[in-house]
Amino acid sequence: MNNPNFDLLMWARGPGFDIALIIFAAGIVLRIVEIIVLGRKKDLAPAKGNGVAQGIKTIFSRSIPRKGLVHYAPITYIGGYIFHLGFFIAFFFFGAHIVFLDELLGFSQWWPEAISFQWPAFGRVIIESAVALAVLAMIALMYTRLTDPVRRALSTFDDYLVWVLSILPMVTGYIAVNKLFGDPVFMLALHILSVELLMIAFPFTKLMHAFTFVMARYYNGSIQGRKGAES
Amino acid sequence: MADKPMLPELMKAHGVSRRGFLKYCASLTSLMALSPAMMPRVAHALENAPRPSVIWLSFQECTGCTESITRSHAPTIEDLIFNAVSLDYHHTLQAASGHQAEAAREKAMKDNWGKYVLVVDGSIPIKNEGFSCIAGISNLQMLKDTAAGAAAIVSVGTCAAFGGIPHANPNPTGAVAVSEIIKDKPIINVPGCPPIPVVMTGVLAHFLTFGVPELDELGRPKAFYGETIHDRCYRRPFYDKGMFAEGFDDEGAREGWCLYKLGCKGPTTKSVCATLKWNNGTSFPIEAGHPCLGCTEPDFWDNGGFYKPLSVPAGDYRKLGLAAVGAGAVAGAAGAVLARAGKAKAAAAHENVDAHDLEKKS
Amino acid sequence: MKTPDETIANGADHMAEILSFVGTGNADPVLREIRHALSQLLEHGTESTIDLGAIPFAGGDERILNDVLGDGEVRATLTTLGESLVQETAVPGVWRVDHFDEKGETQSRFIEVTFMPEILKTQRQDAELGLATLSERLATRDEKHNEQGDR
Repeated sequence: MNNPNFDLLMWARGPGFDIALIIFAAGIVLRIVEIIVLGRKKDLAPAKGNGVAQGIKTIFSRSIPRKGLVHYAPITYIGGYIFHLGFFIAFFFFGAHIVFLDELLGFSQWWPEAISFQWPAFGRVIIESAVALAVLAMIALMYTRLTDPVRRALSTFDDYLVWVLSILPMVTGYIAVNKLFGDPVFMLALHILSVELLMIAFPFTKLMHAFTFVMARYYNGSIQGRKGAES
Repeated sequence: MADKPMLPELMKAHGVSRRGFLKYCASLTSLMALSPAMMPRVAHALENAPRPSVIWLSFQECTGCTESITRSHAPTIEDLIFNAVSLDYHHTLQAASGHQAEAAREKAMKDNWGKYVLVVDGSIPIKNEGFSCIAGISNLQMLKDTAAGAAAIVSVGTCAAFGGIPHANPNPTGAVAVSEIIKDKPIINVPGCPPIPVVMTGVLAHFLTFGVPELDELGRPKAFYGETIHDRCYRRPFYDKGMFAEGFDDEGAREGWCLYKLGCKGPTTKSVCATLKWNNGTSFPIEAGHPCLGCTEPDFWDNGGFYKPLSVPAGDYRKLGLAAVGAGAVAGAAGAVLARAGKAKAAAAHENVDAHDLEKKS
Repeated sequence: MKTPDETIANGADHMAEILSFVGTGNADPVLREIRHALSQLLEHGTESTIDLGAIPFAGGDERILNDVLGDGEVRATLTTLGESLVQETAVPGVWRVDHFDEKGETQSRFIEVTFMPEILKTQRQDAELGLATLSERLATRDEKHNEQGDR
């Protein structure tokens, strides 16, 4: 006799994860390697400033909004921060996720004696508040996307797909942990499957920014830096 | 069954007072997870229900379930429940053996046809019936024959309920659960490896007093398998606070923190271990410092490893992941090289064109 | 200096001490349920029983329950199929009924809201048996008496 919910969970943890991981890892490496190997055209002009220093500086400075822009588009900026921070906290500081990352990246396997390498987990109150705020922020962001005619015109299928794929893991995770409804095993399976969908879409959508933002910011910063301009 | 005395008379004969009977009924009602308001009905049912004949068949099993149910010493609730039934065949416990024992089974079946309770522990091999036999009768045949006259079947232990360990990958004997073979009788699954003794007896008591209890989608009585261990675990506050034992001998383990990271299956395992506990309410695995293995769930043996946390992938994904990284790198480099070659080719094929050339062509 | 054994023993005590304060938050709802049951008993005479085994109850909850209810005037021990402890709490009308088996292990635990717990009363069947026993004993006495009288 089988438990269909458990079978689904085991598929999600087994073959489902394998498939998602292959596409995720191969896709991301493919895109990054391609970008790096393609390279940039050599700038033959004499440098007027330090491109490397400004490139590195820009990687961080672009995380701070420009003066006035917060007033111009408050929901986009504040909502964007809340979503990214909330997602980051839930992903990196929930106990079950820490043990997943540790297993995946193999810290404790590379250094068995450093099993306590795992960073401390946050409590339920912090994690769940972060998730709730992140979901609310995403809803607000979608609202502005739909109501602002310019943003609406600029939005593509990719934007809506990524929104759905990003909000699903948070919603399913919250439901699974709190057992709001449904069989807990089934909800856990759904949560893992939703993450796998996110992983599969990752290399082929704007989600890639999580990896390429460093390169892009450095690239922009160093161009300006070389010219002696601000960035 | 007139020759079998009712339970109250039996208790009276043993010098147990009516008060004792009331105490027994109160504890039994609590054990069956019924409302205390049901106590008079339990008492009434026990006073009037005839003692049913029970036939216990053991197939591909380790006798752990029988060990569990007989582990409690006299005269506990468990014993009293056994007094409430007439155990007519149990080849581990009975004195008779071989054909004599089988004769006892056949007699009990004939005398109580359509009324006896069949308890099964162990799974049934179907790849080759001959893999497991008792007195020359295959398990499959004995189950079919005995089930035909049963009022209900209680599948005790994960092997009988879900196939259990014999059913585990690669399942050399083709072991299956009772419910895979018998389709026309009420089957109560009481999984666990082994089940808690009071759960087994509680289910029997419920059957004696009120018939087949309310079951979940896996055929388990909801009273005992309605909630996950995680929800009732005394270590749950540590899970909620994010405090986990990382090893079996670290500070967290000594302080009794949550065992999730050590592979505890409490969140996906439905059982009353955390509330009823084991060894007469002494403790349960998590309290003893070991993560839950999830033994009341189907295929618990193959569900990704006992010490792998639930959130961790179950497969051997690491090689696949590394291969994917390698393949991605190669494909990315190849793509870039191709693009560069394309660019160089395009540059080489470049011709300077001015307005006069364009006019000439058109 | 403590010996390692002492340290371990102290650690276990320490742990038990900590656990006795860990609660599930179920004590307060149970206490409110008891208050409601007591008001029902006074208004309509309805008795009620709460099965403490049916609720997740940790050491901390037990502590709160005992602190609020306290020990009352009656404390009775039954000896049948092991012991049972029937105690009135300091809130008259609220009783604790704890059943133990013959090895002293807890079988079941109840809060009864009643003027008199049923199990304290003599049961009719037991009284009938009592009458028979007494008659038998008196008959034996009479026999002895007669034998002595004959002599």
